[in-house]
Amino acid sequence: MSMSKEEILKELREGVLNYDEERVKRAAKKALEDGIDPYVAITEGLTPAIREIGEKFERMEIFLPQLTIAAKAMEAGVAVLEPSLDKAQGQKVKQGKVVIGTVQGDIHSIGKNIVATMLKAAGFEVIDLGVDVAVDKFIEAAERSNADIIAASALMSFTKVMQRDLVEYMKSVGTRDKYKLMVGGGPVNEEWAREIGADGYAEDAIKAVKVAKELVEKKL
Amino acid sequence: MEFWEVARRAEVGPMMKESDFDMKISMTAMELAKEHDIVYDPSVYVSSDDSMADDVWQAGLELLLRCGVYNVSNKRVITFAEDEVKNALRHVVAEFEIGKGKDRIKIRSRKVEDRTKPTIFSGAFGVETTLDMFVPFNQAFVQEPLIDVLFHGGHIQSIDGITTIRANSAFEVIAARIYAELMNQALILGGRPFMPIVWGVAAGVSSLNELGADSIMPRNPEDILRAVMFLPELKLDDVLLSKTAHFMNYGYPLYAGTTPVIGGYAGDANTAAIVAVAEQIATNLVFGALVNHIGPQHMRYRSQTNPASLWMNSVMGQAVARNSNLITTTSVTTAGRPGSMQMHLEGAAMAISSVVSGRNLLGPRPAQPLYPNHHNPLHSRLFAEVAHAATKLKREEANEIVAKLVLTYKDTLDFDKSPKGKPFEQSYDVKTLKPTEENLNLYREAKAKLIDLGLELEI
Repeated sequence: MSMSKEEILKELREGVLNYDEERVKRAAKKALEDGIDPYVAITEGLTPAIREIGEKFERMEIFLPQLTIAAKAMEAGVAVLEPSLDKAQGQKVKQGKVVIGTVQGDIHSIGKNIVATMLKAAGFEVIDLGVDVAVDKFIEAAERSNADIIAASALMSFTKVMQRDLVEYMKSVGTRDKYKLMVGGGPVNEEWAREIGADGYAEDAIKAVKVAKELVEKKL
Repeated sequence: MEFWEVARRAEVGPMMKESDFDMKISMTAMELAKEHDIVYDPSVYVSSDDSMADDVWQAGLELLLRCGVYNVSNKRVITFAEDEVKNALRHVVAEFEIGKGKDRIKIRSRKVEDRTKPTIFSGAFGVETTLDMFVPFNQAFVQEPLIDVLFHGGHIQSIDGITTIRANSAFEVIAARIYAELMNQALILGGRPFMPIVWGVAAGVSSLNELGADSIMPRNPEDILRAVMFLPELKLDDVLLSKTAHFMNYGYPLYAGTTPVIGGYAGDANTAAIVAVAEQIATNLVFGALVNHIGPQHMRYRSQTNPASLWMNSVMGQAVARNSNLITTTSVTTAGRPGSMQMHLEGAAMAISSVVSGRNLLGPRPAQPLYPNHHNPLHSRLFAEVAHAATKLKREEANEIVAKLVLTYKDTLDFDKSPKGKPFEQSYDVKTLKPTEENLNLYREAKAKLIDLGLELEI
């Protein structure tokens, strides 16, 4: 079936907005077959859709399950299109690499999962270390993956202190200037982030994406 | 079902990825909401729909049977058969006594629009407490006669130059020992040495801190409820199971709960109500808890008095109260902070919604305290008075009052907009433990507003 460029871009958008991974994959393949610039397919098809999904989540018109499924659909589309990007485009699409985890002693995962999902959807490569992550594990993962950002979540006042330990550990092993550090979580605020010397703080996942983008730009 | 059988299933159940379990809960709850036509109506705060309550109960039961409970430590699912669940529900304890002397009380299962007074659990749980204020702060709560059960005390976060005690550190265990010592002093000085208490999360988060305080508790284990909490949604870990084993070995009754998160994997308010019912059944089934608790949490607000939480709690509460004899509580965390009119009114809204929906009550407490010692017991006093008055209300009347209350605070539920309030030292004379005139006036003013709205409160 022949489709115009606009129709294919619309199909990519609609696929994400309707949480339909197969539809997104089909539209992405069609885009490549029809010679549509994959960069345009991502930035004008998929990205506006996932932004809309993020905004709906922020307004609580949709919830974490829908956000997760839409992000998965977006990722599936990017996976089809990405190999056809030229090098310059690939660099523009890739936002950066983030190592994320909940700090040691803390087993809360939901907030961290949401931030990881939104970062992935925004084009970041995310290495999720899960919960109860020791300070050295953050650094090891960042070294291995050549990450840009380390993001540490803490949900309790008794565990947010591990974010401070992470800063100290990074300094003591000489990696503090190598990575940007973001912190977040229930008991965490801007003041705490400043006090411990983190580079960024965000109170929710949408702002976390914004802060991560700013940090990557600063790093470049 | 015996706990040992649950623990055995946690060792041998089918394995699954945690993220797949999270999504299975979400998708199953959505399917069940569709199947049973359970829809959230944002214009309603306190539901009067018996048929919806029964549908939510049935859906919650099916969710538990289809999904089970997940052990994140070994990635196994604890599964239950329908006859096991039904048999357990047939044998739940519908009332029990706890405490000693004049403070011995009976805690009961409540029904929808039950005329009996709910049990009030209250305290400064979740509020950082300084060592110098620890005894007077907690004593002031102990001295409130309408608080039936002290729910934890404020926690000690700083000690001996350590500004933030780290989880699992030696200071956590030392602080727990001091917590137990000082809490006993607060109970004795408050004139209620054998007041029932929910004990746990005393001074940190690790299991060691709880064990560290065990030997200083002066009472028989059967007079102290120990708290265990599922992770949202329907998840636990080996630490929680081993803690439960310890409490059972030593004869402590259990207070088990969870905080289903609207907006999280529990989804919208309608699916969250279904998840909450499943969790409420599971707290009894897994832990053999005497008191089964739900905190109707919300992803965006991070407090529990918003319209969606109110609706979810009323529907879930009525589902459980109409279909079981479980003894239940609902917690009330507020965006407005202690020392503010908003906190009084938010607490009242959830108290009214819960009481007519068959719940006992826990709270109120600030969802985001700003200072050390950031609570004051006059909030608990009015909260308890409102809860008692709400036993005279029908659900429709409750809904009308709650709707008017929500109007007063719905635009200031975000933490950056909600009132900051004042710490204990500025709300009470810390020597006489009497509220300041300003604090008393605020309480009286809030009470007058509630009387105007139709609540039968004594002046």
